[in-house]
Amino acid sequence: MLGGLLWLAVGCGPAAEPTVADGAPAALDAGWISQVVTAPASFTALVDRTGREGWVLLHQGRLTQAARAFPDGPGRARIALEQAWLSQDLAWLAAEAWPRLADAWVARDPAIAQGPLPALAAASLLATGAPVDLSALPADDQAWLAAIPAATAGQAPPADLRGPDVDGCVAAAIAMLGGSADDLPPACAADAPLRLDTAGSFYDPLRFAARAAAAGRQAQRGSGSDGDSDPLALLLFGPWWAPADLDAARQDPAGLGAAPAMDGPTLRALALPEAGAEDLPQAARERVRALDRALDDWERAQAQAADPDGAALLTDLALVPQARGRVLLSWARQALAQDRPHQATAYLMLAHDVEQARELGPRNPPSLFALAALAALRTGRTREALDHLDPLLAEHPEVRALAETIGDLAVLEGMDRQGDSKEN
Amino acid sequence: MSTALRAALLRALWFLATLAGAVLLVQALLHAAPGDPIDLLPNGAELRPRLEVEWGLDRPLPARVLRYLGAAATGDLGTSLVVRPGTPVVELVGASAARSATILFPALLLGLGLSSALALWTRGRRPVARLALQLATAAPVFLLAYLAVSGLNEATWALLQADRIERPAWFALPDQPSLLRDALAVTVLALGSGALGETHAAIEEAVERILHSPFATAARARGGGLVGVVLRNLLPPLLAVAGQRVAPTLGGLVIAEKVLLLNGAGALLWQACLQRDHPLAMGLGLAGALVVAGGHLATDLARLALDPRLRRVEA
Amino acid sequence: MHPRPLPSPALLLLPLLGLPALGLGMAWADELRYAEDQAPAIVNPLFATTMSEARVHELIFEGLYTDDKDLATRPDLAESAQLSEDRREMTILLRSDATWHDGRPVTADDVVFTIRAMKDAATASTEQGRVDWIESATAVDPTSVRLRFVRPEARPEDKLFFKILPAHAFEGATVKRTDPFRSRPIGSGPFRLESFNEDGSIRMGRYEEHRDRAGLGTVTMREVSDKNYQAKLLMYESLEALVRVLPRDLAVLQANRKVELYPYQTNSWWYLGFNLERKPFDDARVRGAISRMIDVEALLAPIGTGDTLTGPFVRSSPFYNHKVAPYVADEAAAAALLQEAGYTRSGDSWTKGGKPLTLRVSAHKSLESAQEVVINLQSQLQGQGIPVTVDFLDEAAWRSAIWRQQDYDLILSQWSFDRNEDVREQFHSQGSRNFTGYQSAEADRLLDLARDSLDPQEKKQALRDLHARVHDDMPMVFLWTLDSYSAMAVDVRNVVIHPFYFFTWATDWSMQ
Repeated sequence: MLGGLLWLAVGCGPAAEPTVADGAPAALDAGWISQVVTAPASFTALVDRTGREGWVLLHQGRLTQAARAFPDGPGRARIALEQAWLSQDLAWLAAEAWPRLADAWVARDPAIAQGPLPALAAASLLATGAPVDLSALPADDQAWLAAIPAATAGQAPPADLRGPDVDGCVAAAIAMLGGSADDLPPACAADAPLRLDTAGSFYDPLRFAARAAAAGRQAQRGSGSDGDSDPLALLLFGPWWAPADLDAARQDPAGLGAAPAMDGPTLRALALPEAGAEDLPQAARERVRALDRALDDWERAQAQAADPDGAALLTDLALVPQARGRVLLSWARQALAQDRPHQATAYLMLAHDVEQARELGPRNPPSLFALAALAALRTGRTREALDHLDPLLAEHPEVRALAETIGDLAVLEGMDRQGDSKEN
Repeated sequence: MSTALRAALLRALWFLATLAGAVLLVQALLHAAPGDPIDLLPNGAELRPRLEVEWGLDRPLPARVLRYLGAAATGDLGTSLVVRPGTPVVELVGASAARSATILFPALLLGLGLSSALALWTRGRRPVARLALQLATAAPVFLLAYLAVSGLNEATWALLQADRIERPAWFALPDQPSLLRDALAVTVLALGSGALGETHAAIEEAVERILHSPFATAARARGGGLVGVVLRNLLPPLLAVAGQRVAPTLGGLVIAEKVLLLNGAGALLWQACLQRDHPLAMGLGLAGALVVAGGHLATDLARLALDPRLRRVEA
Repeated sequence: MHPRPLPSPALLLLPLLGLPALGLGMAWADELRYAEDQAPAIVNPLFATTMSEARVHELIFEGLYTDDKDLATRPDLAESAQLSEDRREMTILLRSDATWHDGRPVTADDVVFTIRAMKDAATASTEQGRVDWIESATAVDPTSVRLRFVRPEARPEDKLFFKILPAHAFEGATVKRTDPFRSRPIGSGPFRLESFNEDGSIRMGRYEEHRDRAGLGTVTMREVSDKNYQAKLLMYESLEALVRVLPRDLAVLQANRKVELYPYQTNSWWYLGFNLERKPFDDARVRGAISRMIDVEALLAPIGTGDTLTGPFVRSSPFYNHKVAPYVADEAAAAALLQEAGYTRSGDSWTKGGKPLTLRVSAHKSLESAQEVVINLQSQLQGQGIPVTVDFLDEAAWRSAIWRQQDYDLILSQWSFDRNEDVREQFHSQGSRNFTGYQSAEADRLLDLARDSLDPQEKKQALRDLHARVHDDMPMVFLWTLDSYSAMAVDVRNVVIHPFYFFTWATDWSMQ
């Protein structure tokens, strides 16, 4: 009827002109996505040479499986980098959760301060390089805690460390931080609680920092020894848009193993608005929208210019949405480092692929969930932090230890509240 | 007593019986529906003993009907329990019925006008024309309304996206109150659920009857125009059709008001029934019965006044 | 940009497109319009029953305390407070710049009136439970109020979020649902109710005298019962916010650059609940058999993405017991259990004493996607010899049949929890929401322990044990949890959504 007529009217009109992408910044063209789209053969050659399965798993955000699929070579080094970044994000999370748990628990039950909790909380902070005043802690604890900053500075820990469980997993983690080991003993694997003599079940707060240090070293070694200098291996599905961004990151004294911040030359060329020094989510959203405008136009231009193989790769692998997600992730990381957790939440919310909300995937890399949990904790949403960690557990069972710790905190925080439930 | 007066009295009695019947029917339906308004209160379990007495839910059906009729006779229809707690039903019914009237009566007039025009056109034509007409209006009211709304919305949105038009004030249907929305309601009510087909058939038959009547033959013999004869004699059957259409159009109104978000009496009745708001549902049911029976009564009386033969036959 | 000229056929339609509106429809420049499935019937926070009401109350009223953006308690109508040493008394100083929408100041009398009215049995407030820990409230002077507690309170301010009402708007000390206040409420919040419209919509305008002047000029709540249509209206830019998005609309909305999605309320789970007081469902073997006839993944697949569950908590909950293995669909095991319970398979059905085993599944009409789930469930069970009839009940019928009369075999329903995930009312033998009739001394013990323990790890473990217990006892077949999102037009700026009340920080919002 009437609607049909109107449709007809639309059909008779001149076709809408395609949006012209001539404003798309040339800086984006220098990136790895353009290389894959315009020369798909170089991508196929790299993937086939180094192991297709590993790349597929990396693209899917399945780092543990990808690590198994890449026994050596540039793929292995690349996965080690990703693992280092994820572990670092989780170490930050531990350093947020442990002190909060200790404070909340001691406030409710001062007796708990006699146990290992305050020292474990201090350890989690020290492992991320945060300054901690140890003077209030017992002398025994001060001794083993002092070994942590020494280890992060590259000193091997003394052989006779004594403290809560230091002969076990915590000592092993300190050794790993200091570079004397690359892995924890099997007994410390996954979600095993520490063997403490006191009541309560606590976990190793150093695990993720130790893992980040070891993986960073592994990545450094891998990228140096192999001799495969194809920069695409480091750029593919990664946080750096173009070789220039990678070069800039190499100048960073912290090395590539430090979680990357997306402030390389490519994004600078886009002249996106800054998010400001205040923690205003709106500024973060405006920044993402500006990025989206640039990327949407640019992606259309790429699709038009590409040959069929390149265009297929562009859409099938969702290369632009995935790369956009990595940009947002590094912005979130930066915002968290600068104490702007609400902005970080905005970035992560906009990066999250809600269609597969609870799964790792090309647009949902593991760090997205780790950082979302951290942002949730920083903004008082302790229970929500657990929602974010849940999707990591299948691929990273060791995260269970962190979930237990944050779970204790969530339970503590809810103790004075009356619960409510509704049907439907 | 004159025959005309008896005929009129008979109809008035029938009118009152219809109202009482409607009250009984709505009460019985509400009684039979599972759950009651107290169930809908979150603390209903605690309040039940008190509210059952207060709201009269503890009484048997006949007692409820009698109590209601007694109060209604004095103009007291009670207050709404759940939908608009505490608001007098008379107020709610009055306001919503006034809104519904602006749809109902135009729909009836449009239906009759269109059917008459079409009847004069299809008369004497092949049955295909009639069948096509009946098929075309067979779609239920809700489907017609839904199709019209989605078609117009999607098309307008496409035009808007293509920058061909400014955003119309009525967009998006039926979210915004607008003349177009009301016009759509009137149109689907006049056309949908076979309304047009039925009225058209009835009027066409009446036209045929008139044309084959002795006075039409006489008029033809006199060489006078037939149009005047037909139109003069069509009024009583038209009124009869109008009277019969009131009830089905009211039924369609509930649907049209739901789909087109018109907050009239039909939509309110729907809500009152869903929320077991007995007084409100009763008030609306009574108002509906009043309109249906009143429609019959008014059209019958008008026919009696217009057509002396009817007075004789019915007396 | 100017519209391009229309092609000739469309010109004919121009008059129609330009049909005048009645003037109510267009959005104001700084208006936020959001949709609710059902509009509140009354606006009075003492009778809050639904989330749609709670959201409106959040805009119009204020409590003594509220959440700041980091969910830490901060004073709202209160200015400061002092807790006595024994923690049984608190003196609250009210802020001096808070006024009611009619211009009168907010005083200690208002606070005292509200607490007394909530406690008054004649008021029958649904919120009575939120003040039953307060023994008494007295006004010390016009700006300070003293509260005395039933027992010592560690952080009483965490419980003082309930909304305060103006004493001068009521006659006497009792508040009634039917008071005229219901449609002409006076609050002290950043928005005042401008009109309670006949179509169920509620229009709220900025309260210009509020100490934190809101960025939005108007907030309009619209009732749109059809969820599909809600999403359409958002796409058509006829709404600025949707409180809950259907899972099937997520993909389209996520791809729309003019809309952003926000996670909102995720602690909810679906279940199939048995009537344990009705034979044969009092027999654990029959319940076990039915549990093993159901392929939960296959029921979930058509309706959205989510996690399947083995107990009464969502998977991310600290109380979820990951060691509990799910019941897997296993026709042979189900048959064995039914035989053990005395049933024999004859032809297409299971019978005991000549009586066939049948099942009536009841579901709430408004439960999204329930139809798809129930129809699939019906076909799964019928394929294994249990004929299933289905009932979809409206709210009144549901409350009456399920809650009041326990007249059902199996229900499909959903529970939603706040962040405390307190399942005591659902599973304790004395629980007010335990309509399955579940009775277990062990479950009661674990729930009591969880309530009373001050050790978070002990509480956690008790509820994990409870998870295992109810999984084994099977009063319910636990199904899944679904993701839930709100959607907001990008034109709305500075949006931060409160995880429960939604509008708590709406004063900061504004329109682009």
